[in-house]
Amino acid sequence: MSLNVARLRQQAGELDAELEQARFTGRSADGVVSAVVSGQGKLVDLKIADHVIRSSHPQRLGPAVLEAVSAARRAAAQVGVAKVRAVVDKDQEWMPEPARGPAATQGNDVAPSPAPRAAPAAEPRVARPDAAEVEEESFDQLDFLDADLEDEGRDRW
Amino acid sequence: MSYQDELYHLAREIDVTVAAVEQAAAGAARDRVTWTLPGELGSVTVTGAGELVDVSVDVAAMKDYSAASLSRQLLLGIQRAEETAVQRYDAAIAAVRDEERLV
Repeated sequence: MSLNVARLRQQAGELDAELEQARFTGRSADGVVSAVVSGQGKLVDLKIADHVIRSSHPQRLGPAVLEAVSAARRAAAQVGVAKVRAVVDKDQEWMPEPARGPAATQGNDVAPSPAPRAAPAAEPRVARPDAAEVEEESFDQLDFLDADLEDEGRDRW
Repeated sequence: MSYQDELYHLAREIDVTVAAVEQAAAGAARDRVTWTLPGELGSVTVTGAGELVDVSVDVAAMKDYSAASLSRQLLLGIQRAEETAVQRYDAAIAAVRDEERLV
């Protein structure tokens, strides 16, 4: 199988542009802060609920900002990693998302786009046995008579 | 010097450079950048790798802000802190690269 470097590079560039346009929203556990990041994890917007400033626990604001930004970045990373895998891993197929306007990209919560599609004919990968396992199966060390008897659940005698 | 010796020395040189860049990157990632918000509002801290690790807001100072302006100040603070961290990280690696004359 040959590696098409030019195609890989082109797809990586397209994916980078797609992730730059994508938006992911994360919220703090108490819901008072929401953060929006790009698909590359760059913070692009932050909103704090009006009532927080005069609330009884304003000291919660800092940790809430941290939670919201982290949640948004986790969502972005989840989708980003899956898309990068689809480009690099040839068992999956990646297609660029159709271009969308800024209004359409806003408000994308945790999963804004479908997961990469698996190629229809792709078989699940089977781990290649390592050298130690291969050596253990050497025919020199196998006793076929014993093995047959054990398979049948009988003793030798 | 034989061709094999030349190759060996080239490989050694690459190993040393890669190790130096890795060390510089790890050191830069460990550093922290703290950005002070205007009006004694508080501070934002990110790691050298650009990960947001702390947001401290002065409870007394935030009473002077609306939610919208507070959001804007925090957004700008986080963005500036992360930009600064990335610039420092890149500069640390570039310094080693220049020192080792790696292109």
